[in-house]
Formats: sequence, structure tokens, C-alpha cells
Amino acid sequence: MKKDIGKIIFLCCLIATGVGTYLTRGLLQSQKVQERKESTQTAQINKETGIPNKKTDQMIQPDQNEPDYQAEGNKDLAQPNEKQKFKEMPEEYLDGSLFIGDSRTSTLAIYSGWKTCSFWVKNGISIWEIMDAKIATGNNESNLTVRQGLEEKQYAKIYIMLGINELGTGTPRSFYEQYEKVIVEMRKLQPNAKIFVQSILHVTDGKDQAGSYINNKEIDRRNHFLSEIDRIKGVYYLDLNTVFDDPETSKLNPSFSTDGVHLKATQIDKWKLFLLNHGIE
Amino acid sequence: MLFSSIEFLLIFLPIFLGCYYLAPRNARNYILLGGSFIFYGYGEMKYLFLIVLSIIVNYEIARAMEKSKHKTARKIWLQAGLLYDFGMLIIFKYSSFILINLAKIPGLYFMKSFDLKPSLPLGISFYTFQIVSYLIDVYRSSIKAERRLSQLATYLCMFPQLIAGPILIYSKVEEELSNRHETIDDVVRGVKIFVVGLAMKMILANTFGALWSEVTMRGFDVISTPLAWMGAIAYSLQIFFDFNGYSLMAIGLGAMMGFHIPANFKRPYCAKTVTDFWRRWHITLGEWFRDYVYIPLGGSKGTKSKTIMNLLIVWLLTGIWHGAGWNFILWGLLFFLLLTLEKTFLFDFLNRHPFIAHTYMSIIIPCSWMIFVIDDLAQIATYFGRLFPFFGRGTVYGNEMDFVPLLSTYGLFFILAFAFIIGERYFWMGLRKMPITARATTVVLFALCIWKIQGSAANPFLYFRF
Repeated sequence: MKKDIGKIIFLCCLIATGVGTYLTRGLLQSQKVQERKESTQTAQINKETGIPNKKTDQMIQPDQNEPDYQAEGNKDLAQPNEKQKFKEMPEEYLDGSLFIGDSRTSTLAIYSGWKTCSFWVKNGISIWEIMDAKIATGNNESNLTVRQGLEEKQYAKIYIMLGINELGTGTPRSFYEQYEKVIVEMRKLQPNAKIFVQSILHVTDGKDQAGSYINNKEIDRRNHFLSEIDRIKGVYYLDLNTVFDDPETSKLNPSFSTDGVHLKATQIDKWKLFLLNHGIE
Repeated sequence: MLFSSIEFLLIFLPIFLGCYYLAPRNARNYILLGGSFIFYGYGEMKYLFLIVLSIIVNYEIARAMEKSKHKTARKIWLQAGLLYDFGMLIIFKYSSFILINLAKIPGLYFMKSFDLKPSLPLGISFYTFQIVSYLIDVYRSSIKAERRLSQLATYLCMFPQLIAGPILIYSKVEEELSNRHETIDDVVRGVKIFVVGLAMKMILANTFGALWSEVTMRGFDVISTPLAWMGAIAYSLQIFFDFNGYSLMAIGLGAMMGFHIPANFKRPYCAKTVTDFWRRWHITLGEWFRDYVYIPLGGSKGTKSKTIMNLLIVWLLTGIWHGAGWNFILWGLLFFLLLTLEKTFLFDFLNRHPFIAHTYMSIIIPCSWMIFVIDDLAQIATYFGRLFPFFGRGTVYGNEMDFVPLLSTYGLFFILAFAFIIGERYFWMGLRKMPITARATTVVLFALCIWKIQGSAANPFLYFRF
């Protein structure tokens, strides 16, 4: 019996550690979840930064029981000038641009061959963590947070695509508010940059049918909110889904993706063309 | 329920083991059986009836077979049983594949409408093979038909190995089913093995899985040759740590209850030949095919052409067992080809030249897994075009250095994995001989796993759908 005491202590330790780890991690996560559900005060932020609010009286709709967002047509009518301001641009237009994003943008980072552009990408990153992610580079240093990187060097154009990783947490509203918070901060750090917010890309039908939190309905909800972000001056919303959707299904064209979520590298040319066709002088 | 889930680790298992240890010995099989039903039902309630039906049908057939005196009658019973068991397997696993391919034949397009696209019942490939071995053994009179239905049910359903093996042969567990004792040493040993398996899955397999999916998402036509190799090696490591991890968890759970579940892997990536590899990889499956297909067909006792024919049958079946798809058939054929080559001349040569042998295997292993995992034949061709660019298929689209960022992210895990593969023997020896270190390591690994499980939403086992 005496020599078994060690073994019994071991088993008890194991159980205690398991439960302890579970509780600690759970606690940390629930704090995060809570944080993501609570809304930040959008209106206040705008006031603080003094950014002109293009659509001041168009408050964001509450996200519960929201209407059918498929009726995108109405929005186009509401802002007839929005679409026309984009211009076709020459190849050099993208030179020196900054791209910020998750794994979906990493394909650009690796295969685009746009040597003059900077890519700050990290797999699994979300709008909630982006500013503090150590993925940025400065003039000479690397391993800076996005915030530090934006302080360090000014960019003419910043392209952002985020939103797939956080689909399972928060609400469309809290997502948007966080997004706006990030963009407003970027705006402050980069007063002269044009900031392009790219829509959350759809997923393919196969992925959509899989029934996880990654689905096009939720993506549409969030994009609907996100499309309002261009009310901040110097910020433009780009609906990338018009290029990559299968027009019949309004889902990501399955021939453009092997896993249903990420674009294959062979699709980069289309992406590039879209960005060039949506230039701002 | 996944072994690597909070529900299993912190709810099901503690409650189950508590009940199990407190129960009197003669009630333990019932606890195990009940627990196994809950375990299975939690994952796939709608197919629970199928496994219950399988138990009842096979129980009755085995009994009837034993009672019948006539050889022909026994044979008919056996055939009926096999028809039922493989019939179910074919309906649920292969019907879609068969019908879709039949529909491609001109004039048979209507076949497509018969395709009900059934989802694959959890573990059906494994439990079908187990119950078939039981039936055949009863037919051969090497075991007696089980009288207690609950005993047979416990054998087929026991949750440690129900879903992904190791494949247990009835005669080997019969004794332990009715009479087993676990000591505290067994429990501690079982816990250690279980946690090591869990860590393999959570820390190594999932990481390499992430790397492999990163390679996949870029599209095979753009990846550079080094990245193609990195992807293939990553997948080889993923499937090894995933499946071996699962098998170890099963063995560990078995040990906690006093079972001795046979090993499923014996350092397969150290094999010098394909022949040797298949004696070390998924051992219980290889033995099943040897004992219930290859040897009954005549094995290697007949003429050379007969032996080759037998090998072809076994490897086609092994391929198809792994999944309903042309790539699995191709995969089986590749091994048939390699094994035939080795049987005719290569085996002795490779055994004499270990350096050449290991080089040969380190090309064969990743390549064979690529045929296994990529389910589209055209995509397989593209991938091999990237692996061997001198055959001139595909062009690199953007970046010859695309593997560099991945190497810096995953490099450490590759080192860890290779170190384990090379030094596995010493690892297990250390686990036995240095109890204090081993226990501390186990606790740390367990905490790390729970941390990771809590943090990641999905981590399905690769072998669950086979």
C-alpha cells in the first residue's frame, strides 16, 4: 500500500490539473466572449475622433430579428454616387500598399509577387486581436504590433480583409462596432491613407452546407453591417463577393477554392484586377 | 464523442470509471456495455440500432452454426452471416460510390436515382471486421459460440476501440472479457499511455493537419516543389500521430480496465521495406487480412502467379476498406505493385542496403499518403507534378520560396516529430524506468492537451470516417 501512495497522488494530480486547466481556460475564454458581445459606443467614438459621419441619422439596425439582407439592391439605390467614384487604375497603383488580413490574405502575401507591397497577415487572426498582433514591420524593424507598425510608417493605401475567424463569436453588431473601432484608430494613425475594407468572402456551398458557424448567412449579416463602414471619411468598402461568387448560387465559386474557404493562388489575378478597377485617386 | 473532447475527458470518463471501479466484478461488463452505448449514441444515435442489430444477428447465426451438425448447413449459416455483415457495410459505405460509377455507363444513368447518399455509420468498418472474425472463427471451430449475448455485445461495442480500432479478435479477448483484474499499476500505466496518445493527437497531429490544410488551400498547381514535399511529409506525420495516438488512447483505456489491447503500430516509419512497413502499420488490420483473406485464399503456398493473384485481391480490398473512392483503389494497387516487386527481388536487396532502403521508404511513404488523401485523380497527378517537377507538369505560379514562412512556423514540430519517430523506443523505456519524470510529464502533457482542446473548436480524428 505504501508504495502505491505515489501512484495515487499522481492520479489525483492528473485529475486536479485537468479540471484546473479546463476552468482557467474556460474563464479566460468567457471573458473574451463577454467582451465581444458587449457593444462599444460607436457614436461616441465618432464624436471623440471628430470624424464626419456621412450617414449620421442612419444608425445601425439592431441585429436581432433582422430583415433579409439578400435585398442588397435597395442599398445601391440609397447611395448612387458610391459606386461611381471608383476608377480603373494602372498596374502601378497598388505599389507600396499595405495588406492586413488572416489566412485568406496570406495567399496574396505568398503568391502575388507584389514586391513593393507589405503584407501583415496571420492565420486565425480576428478583428478583435488585430491591432495588437505582432505581425507588422516598420522601416527597419520587424515583429511590431499592427499599431506600432502604423505609427512607424505611413502608407498610401491599406487593404483589410478580416472576419472569417470570429464568425462564431460575438454578433454582427458587436463585430461591426469592433471593426469600426479598429478602422477609426487606423484612420488616426494614418490620416492620409485610403483604407479599403474588403467584404468577408463567402464560402462555397459545400462549406455552407456543413452546418458550422462558418456559413454564408452569417457572413451576409456581417457584410451588411460592414458595408456601412465607408461612412468614415477616406474609408471604402469593396464587395469582393461580386468577383468570386458563383452568380447562380451567390456562394463562393467552388472551382476557386480547394477547401471552400480560401481562394486558390490562381485566383490572385482576378483579385488584383478587381482592386485596380476599384481605385480611388 | 471524441476522446479528445472535454465531454469525454472530464465528464464521461471520470463518471464511467467511477461506476466501473465501484461496481462488483460480475457487473462490470454491463457497466462497460452501457457506457459504450452511451458513448456511441452520443456521437451517432441514429445508427445505434445498426450495431445492436449486428450483435443480435451475428449472435444468433453463430449459435445456429454451432448447433448444426452438417458441414453444408454450417457453411450456409456462415454465408448468411457474411452476406448480412458485408451487405450492411456495402449499403452504408459503398453504395453511393458504386451507383455513381454505374451511372457513368451509357444507358445506366438511372442508377443515380437509387443513390440515397447514406452517411457513414461511425466505426462500421471496424466493428464489421471484428464480428466477421468472430463468425469465421466459430465456423472454423477455433472458438465456441458465445452463449451470453451481453458478453458478445461487450466485445463488439467496448468504447475504447469501437470507433477506430485496434481491431480485436474475439479469441484474444475472450478470457479477459469474463475474467480480468486491474491493479493500480495497470491503471497508472493505462493513464500514461492514454495521455501520450492524446498528446500525439492534440499537439502533433493537429499541428501537421493545420500545415497540410494550408498547403491544400493554396491549390496544388501553384505550390513549389519543396512545399509539395513538406506538405506530403506533414500529412504523413499527421496520419501517423493521429491514428497511432487514437490507438494508444484505446490501449490505455483498455489497460485501465484490465484489458490487454494489442498494439497497432510498431515504429512503422522506421521500416526498411514496404513489406516491413505493413507489419508495423495498423497491425491489427494487416493481421485480419492475413488470417481471414490471404491465408484462406491459399497465401503464398501455391504457384507464383497464384500468390500474386492473392496479393492483388488482398490489396484491392485493403484499399477499398479505407474508403470508397478510386484513389483508395489506386493506393491499394500501388502497395500491391511494391509488395510484388519486393517479393520477387527487391526485399533482400533492400535489407542488405539499409541506406538505400530508408531513402526508398522516405519517398514511398509520403507519396503513397498523397494518393490516399487526395480524392481527385487529376489533383493527384497535379500534386505528383509538383513533387517531381522534372516530369514537367504544372508551373510554379508565384513563389519558389513559399515554404520558408511555414518552415519557421512548423520547424520545431518537425524536429519534435522526427525525434520521437527515431527515438520512440527510448521514449517508452524512459516512461517505464523513470516513474517520477514520467508522471510529471504526463501531468504537464495532459494540462497542455486540455488547454488546446478548450481552445480549438474542432479536431476530428482522421480515421473516424473509415
